[in-house]
Amino acid sequence: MNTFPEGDFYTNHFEKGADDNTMILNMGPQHPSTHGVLRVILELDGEYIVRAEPVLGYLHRMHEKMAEVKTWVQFIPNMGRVDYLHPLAWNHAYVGAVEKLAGIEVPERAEYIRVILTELNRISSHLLWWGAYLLDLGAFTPIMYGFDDREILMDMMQKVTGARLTYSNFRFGGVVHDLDDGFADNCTAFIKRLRDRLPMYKDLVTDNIILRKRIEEIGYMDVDMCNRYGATGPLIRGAGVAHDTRKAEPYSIYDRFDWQVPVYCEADAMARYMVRMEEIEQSLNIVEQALEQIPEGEHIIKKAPKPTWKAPAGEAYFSTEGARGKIGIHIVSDGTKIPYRIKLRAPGFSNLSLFAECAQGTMLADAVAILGSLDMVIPEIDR
Amino acid sequence: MMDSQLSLPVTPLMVGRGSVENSGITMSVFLAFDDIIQAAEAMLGQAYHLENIDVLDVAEGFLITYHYAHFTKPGRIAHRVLVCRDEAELPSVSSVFQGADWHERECYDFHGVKFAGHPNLLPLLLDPETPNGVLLKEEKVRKPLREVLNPGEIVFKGEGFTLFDEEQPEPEEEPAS
Repeated sequence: MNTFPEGDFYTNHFEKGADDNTMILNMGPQHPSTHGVLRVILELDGEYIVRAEPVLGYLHRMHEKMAEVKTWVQFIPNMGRVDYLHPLAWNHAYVGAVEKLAGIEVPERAEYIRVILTELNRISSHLLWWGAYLLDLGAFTPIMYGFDDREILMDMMQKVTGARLTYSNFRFGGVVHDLDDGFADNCTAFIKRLRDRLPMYKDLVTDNIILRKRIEEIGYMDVDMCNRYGATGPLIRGAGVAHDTRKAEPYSIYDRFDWQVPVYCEADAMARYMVRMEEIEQSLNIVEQALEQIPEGEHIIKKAPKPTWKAPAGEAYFSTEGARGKIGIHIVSDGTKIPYRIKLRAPGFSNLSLFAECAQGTMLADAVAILGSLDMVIPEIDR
Repeated sequence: MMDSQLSLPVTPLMVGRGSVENSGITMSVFLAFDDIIQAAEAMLGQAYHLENIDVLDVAEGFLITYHYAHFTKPGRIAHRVLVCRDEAELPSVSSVFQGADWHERECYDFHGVKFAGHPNLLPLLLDPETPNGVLLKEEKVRKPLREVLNPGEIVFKGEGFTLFDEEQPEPEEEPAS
């Protein structure tokens, strides 16, 4: 037990190590570098971390409980709110799972719209991460550039989805609205703009010696660690494994595009940084090809499920690649209007659980850089 | 086991084969309660990672599912254990997969399932004062396992494993609580 009587439940359960010279430090849940409300209890030996224990739950909203009181269709808006930075990957996972269970065929145009929007959403998520990460590290300018680009994306997405942040426009059997008339032109202009800007970002930030000295060779996470913790996404790709759910377990129409999975072998924070920066370029490639290939046709099937629709009994598991890693949704239906059980697998949850082991022995200032390199979205972790 | 996708040091109770297209679960392996650690070690040895641990509250008790996936093979293998509701306690696999630590704490939060040998079984997502088991179902809405789960094509079935049989024993003989 902690000797301080006034600590809360978690500090009172945090056992101090054998060394008398260590100090317990509480970081968060309001610390700006924890993006949202993550709390970490740290045992420090000077400036070095002896032990770190994340405390979760400050943004828990019980999505899995909500799933058991709403109908299948009514649960879709929740998917826009699990991970507010890449909600469309969650949309895709949920509608994909239900379509798999019920055997619903999706029109081809709808699949293209889904892919285009999900990839644009991935870019906006990575741009926000990029700006916010640099802000954590003490650079203020990049977030302004990132938001400048992101603003154009948000305007484009708003016209199609009706929302700027919590997109939930996927439906079983398609999407709510077709793309608007100017979308293709706006999108092409945006692709050109971002491709022109990315070299500038590289010169300004990526090749900057201050950034490199700061994040190279910290936060080592190798394949073995990723395996033991179930870490996915940029973590595993930064550790030298070309794993991307869009390639490993192809869903929707991702197998129709020519694109690469960026891989770096250094397994440090810089490797994860590089993976995300290249993913922006790859997403642009996918969007560009999808815009060329997109066929005319329906954007949703005629007999799309109504709010009182009953899903057939059984189970289905569908996984998609979110900006943070592999999203998985396991649905179980007893054949009624209301889901029997929905289990959400958040990539950030597994990725963050690795932090405790990774942070051991690093400096406290580096811990902030490591946390940022995980690209956490706390609402997704807490669900 | 004869299947190349699955080599386990323990004898499962039943193995069902599904597909990525139909359910996303390529293999559904029902295990005895004390075999799960050995099975988990075998999965780690074959470079599988633990995606999540899912608890399903059904009439027979709790069905705990460990979803294992591989970085290069599509689909996932589900290890499943049925435990009875009164003594819902399993051995913890967090010594094999450290990532299971949080997943198990989450199961404890939501369903009150305990894990023996867990290093730190404290509330994770819920406030410490919230009673455990907020996701438990009322008795009248619980369904028998065979009504909500389709194990796929059954490729192996041990003696005395009747959970998915066409003809079920009389209701009073079922181990339901």
